[in-house]
Amino acid sequence: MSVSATESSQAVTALLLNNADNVYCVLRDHQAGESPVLVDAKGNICSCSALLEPVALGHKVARVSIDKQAPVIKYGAVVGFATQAIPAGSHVHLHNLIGSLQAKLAS
Amino acid sequence: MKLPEHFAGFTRSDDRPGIRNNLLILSVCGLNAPGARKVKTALPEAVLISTMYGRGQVGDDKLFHDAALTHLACHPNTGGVILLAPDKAMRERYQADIEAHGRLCKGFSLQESAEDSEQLVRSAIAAGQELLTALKEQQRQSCPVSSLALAIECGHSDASSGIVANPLCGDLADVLIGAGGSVVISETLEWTGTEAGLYQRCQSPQVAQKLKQLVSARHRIAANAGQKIHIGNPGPQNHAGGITTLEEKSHGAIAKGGTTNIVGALEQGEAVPPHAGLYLMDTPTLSPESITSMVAAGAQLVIFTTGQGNPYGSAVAPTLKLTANPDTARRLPHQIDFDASAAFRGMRTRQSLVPELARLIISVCEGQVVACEALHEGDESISRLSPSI
Repeated sequence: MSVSATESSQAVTALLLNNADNVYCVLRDHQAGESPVLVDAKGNICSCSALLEPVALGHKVARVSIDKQAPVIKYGAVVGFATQAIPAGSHVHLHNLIGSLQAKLAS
Repeated sequence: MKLPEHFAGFTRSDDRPGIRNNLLILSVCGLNAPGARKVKTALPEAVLISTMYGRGQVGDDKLFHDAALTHLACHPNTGGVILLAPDKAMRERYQADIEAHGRLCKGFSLQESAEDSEQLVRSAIAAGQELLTALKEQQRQSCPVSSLALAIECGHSDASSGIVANPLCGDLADVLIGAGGSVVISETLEWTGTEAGLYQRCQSPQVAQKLKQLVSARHRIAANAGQKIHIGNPGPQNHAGGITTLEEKSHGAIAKGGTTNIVGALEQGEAVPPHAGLYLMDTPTLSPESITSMVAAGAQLVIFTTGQGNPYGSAVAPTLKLTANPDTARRLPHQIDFDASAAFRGMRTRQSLVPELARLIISVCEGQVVACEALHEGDESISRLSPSI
């Protein structure tokens, strides 16, 4: 059964923008080992694994493990591809994600 | 979440209803601009649109400029017009259009004022006072919410825009479209990298085809000017805020249009058709040009999301400022109409803010003054498409 975030007294610390996404955004700076309070696109609290590294406000985290070259999905859309395998709970940014427009320019 | 079916607005015989009954001081030529500012100073309740141009324009540029002025003069939110022109012929041409749309109009030209701007200004102020009295006697009446066309813009964005503010506007867009209303978003180059998905969302191949043509033409303008919009974009500030790729940044921008099908692709300034749904309009990226284009197309209300703050709004269409950045909301309470920062701080869900935003929208449609109106920060900026001769 899902818990609505509005019924929960816990402050939400991370947002899933679309339930099809494999990354979510954190709403404050997080330390390694912290487990964000993640709310999905319907406003329900959902589970996520502990962070493997610190992640800053606004930045993305892998919700599930993402294979090398697999699409990274945010807003329910492909926003780029993993340049290396990304374990769940990792920071997703310039070091492991490339946009398809950038990839086209580089090739 | 459902909107009420009706709101109190100003019915227009030929068009969508107005959410304001503005007296517009319209200066259709740069020669009248200084006089128009004097009239506005004497009539602070009026709104001012003043072009710097008006003669020597040719081709598409002339057509676009004159049509934009006419559409703003006949806009649903315009109740009456004090028209200032350089000569009798231009005065008569605009006045005929304005009166044909059922708006009150008093026109003046320098030619008919012995080329004396001071005489013109005195006459215009006196006529403006009469029109204001007449406009105040007109009452709001029940109008269908389905007749609303909402423009949504984002500017001076930051991490809070793509994560909360724009998706929140998208939620509202879905609600308004569900109630039979129309929503328009613009700024073509900010769609870069999302186009394939946008074409798929078009309700027909014809709409997709037109959207493709408009997108290609705008990208050609950039390419011909040597602008490489993929290079260095997203920039260092975007990267610091957590945005990695250009398509991610663009998805954050188009999130403000919500999730429905795209029912129409519009040229810059092209009228929003009287059918429910989401429209995409091709415009330049500067907010003043982009907002004026959507307002000239008939949008009665604008929501402008901002990360860091942005004072600008339309003179004709109330422009509601929304931020999800807590610092901006705290720093600029006089500029921000809707503070969505509780969702960015995790204290509220975005979804729980939608009814509050919807209530505010209806209140503004029924006359509640937005910050931009209170601070007189409205203006209109009509794009130039080519040089004058």
